[in-house]
Amino acid sequence: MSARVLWSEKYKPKMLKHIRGNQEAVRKILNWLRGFERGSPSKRAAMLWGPPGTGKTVVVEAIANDYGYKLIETNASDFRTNEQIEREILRCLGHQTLDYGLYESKVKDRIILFDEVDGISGMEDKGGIGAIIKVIGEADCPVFLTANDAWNPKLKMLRQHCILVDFQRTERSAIVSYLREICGAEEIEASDDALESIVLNADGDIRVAVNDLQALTMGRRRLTGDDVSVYVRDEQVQTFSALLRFFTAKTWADAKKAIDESTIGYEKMMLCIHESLPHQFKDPENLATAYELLSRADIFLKRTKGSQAWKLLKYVFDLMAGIPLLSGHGHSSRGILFSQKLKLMGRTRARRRLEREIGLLIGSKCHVSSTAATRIYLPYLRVIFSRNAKVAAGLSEWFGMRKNMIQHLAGENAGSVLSLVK
Amino acid sequence: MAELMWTEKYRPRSLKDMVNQEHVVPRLKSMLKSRDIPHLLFAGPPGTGKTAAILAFAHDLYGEERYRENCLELNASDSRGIDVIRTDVKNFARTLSLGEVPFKILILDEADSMTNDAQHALRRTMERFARTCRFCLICNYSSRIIQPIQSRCALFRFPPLRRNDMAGRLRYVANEEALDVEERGIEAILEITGGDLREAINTLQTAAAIGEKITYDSVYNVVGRVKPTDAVDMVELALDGRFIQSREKLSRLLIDGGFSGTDILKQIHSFVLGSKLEEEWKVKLTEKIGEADYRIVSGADEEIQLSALLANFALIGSEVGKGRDR
Repeated sequence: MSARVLWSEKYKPKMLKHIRGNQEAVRKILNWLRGFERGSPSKRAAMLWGPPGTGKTVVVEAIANDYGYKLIETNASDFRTNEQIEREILRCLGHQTLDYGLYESKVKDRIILFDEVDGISGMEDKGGIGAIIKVIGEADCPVFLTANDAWNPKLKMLRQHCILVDFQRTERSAIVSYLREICGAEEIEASDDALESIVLNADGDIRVAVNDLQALTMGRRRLTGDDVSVYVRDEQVQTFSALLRFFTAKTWADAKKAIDESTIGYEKMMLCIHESLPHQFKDPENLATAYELLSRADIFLKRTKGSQAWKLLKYVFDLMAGIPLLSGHGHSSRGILFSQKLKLMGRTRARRRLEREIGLLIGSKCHVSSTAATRIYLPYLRVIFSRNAKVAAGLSEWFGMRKNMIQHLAGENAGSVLSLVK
Repeated sequence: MAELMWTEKYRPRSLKDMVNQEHVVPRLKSMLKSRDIPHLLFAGPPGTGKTAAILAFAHDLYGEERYRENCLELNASDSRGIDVIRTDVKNFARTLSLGEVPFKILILDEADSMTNDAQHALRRTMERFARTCRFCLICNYSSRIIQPIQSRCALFRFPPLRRNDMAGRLRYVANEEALDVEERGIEAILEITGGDLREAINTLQTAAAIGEKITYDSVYNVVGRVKPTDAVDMVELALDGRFIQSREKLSRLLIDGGFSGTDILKQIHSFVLGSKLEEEWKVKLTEKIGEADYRIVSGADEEIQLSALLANFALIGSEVGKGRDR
């Protein structure tokens, strides 16, 4: 099968009876829906809140499926203004205007879902929250919202219109049996302790557990506890898992979530995407376009860090997340989906830091700035240190260099240089 | 004898030892006689003796013992912002100088790396402490120094050193160090380093460290290790559409070779200019190089930005190929 399909999508429960955990929450939602059917709901909307990967969206989708509602789904973080939200709902309803279509006709076979309302950020989105409240007030159908934290201050206005339903992290045993079913369907032989370690590591997030399972079983049919215990905390598995989710993202919002929720952090994510790009895009035009997006994202990251203006960080995510949406990427064979060896990242960074320190030492002796010192003196010192241990030892004493600086400059010759340093 | 960098070992201790710069040195000597100087602005390319001249001047003026306490060297690109500079300057300049000279000297290197705002702040500081402190600003381009500062300083231009003076100084060093140097070896150093004496002395010291005899070939051997010559292969691979191999070379240059992104871009640029591509493509490529250079200078990640550049080269390479097929 194609590795382009994400198991967490493929094996998502379609019906309520397949949902594991959070039964209390499901009961509460069904009660509220019955009130809606009778025409006397306590509140006109339900806010489902809890940690990521606890099945909030899945429950709404399953309800729509079981009770035959048409689901109008909007990821709120994609739409930042009033007009955009109204336009989006309009689009879903066909070409009726909002006033005559959604609010006044007897449309009761629909439910509306605003996913991730706490993803709406900052002042500029006030209009967005306003539009959602307007839809809640005027729509003649149940409205669902999901959020990670219902008590986020910016959701205060919204909260007044909603019943709150909290979702707990799913029981470990329930996730294990879910993974076991996936293994059955994928013809993978997995030991109990293998699955248990995966689940333990995922800390109640079903999506993480399923992604890790997929990443760990790439290219193998058997999975033992040892395979997992060696790798479960291994960054490489987490990296594969995050990249898999990123490159298979179908929407902009999904791609952003893949970056945001990756356990390796967005900076490492950026380097890993860089590493994978030529394996994902074979056509030079697409590759250049993808690199342009990554390059722009990198620039915004530096601007964000440089100015400490963290609100700029969203543009880093926005730009990076454009990459999986480009056409012509991806290969069905598992082997070339990602670079086989993800190189140790951050090497260049650590090196630059050390070189700057060396530069400061040189600068203090040779009357130049540290940057000029690295530019003017370092290339020569590197040659001397790798070729002439005696001179190198003398110079490192004169500069007052530390051991790691000598090792850095001398490379393989470091042993003989160090043996001569007093 | 302890090892040290020859650029320091043979740095002139007195104006008498200065090589060349006959437009500059006599003027400084006459200031030395009068025991008074205005603020100074030294401008010229690297390795032409700007820092050396002011340090030698300070030596001659204060004498060996007093020179350290009366002379402060700051680097504009190392100090974080004008506030740091102002504090350092204030602490240094508010006490009177020791000895008979009534002022101290503050050397501000790489002054052209300061923003205009910082330069304006510096101008006020210069005025405030003018009674006790003279400033010597050092830069590559005097045009990057704001007019109000220029008009308060005596400008000294340092042209690139002449071949004969360079060769003479190199032979002097070689003699002191008892090196076996062929005449062709000196020629090679001059070919490569132009009028930059610091670069020339570094090349000489490195060549001496890796071989008994300094010849034309041994000098070029040093340069091959010092400059990222592999960048040419990397670009050719990218233009040929072999992006992954090209990027592999890039990471080897950056990580194993230890070259900076700017070094590599310099090589890429001169390769493109000298290549056999049609000029219309060269223009396209240089635009991409310039953009990558700008992004790296603004602090972006070298590996990502250079990879993006190579991806652009691969794209342009495929377009060149299509053009040929037509």
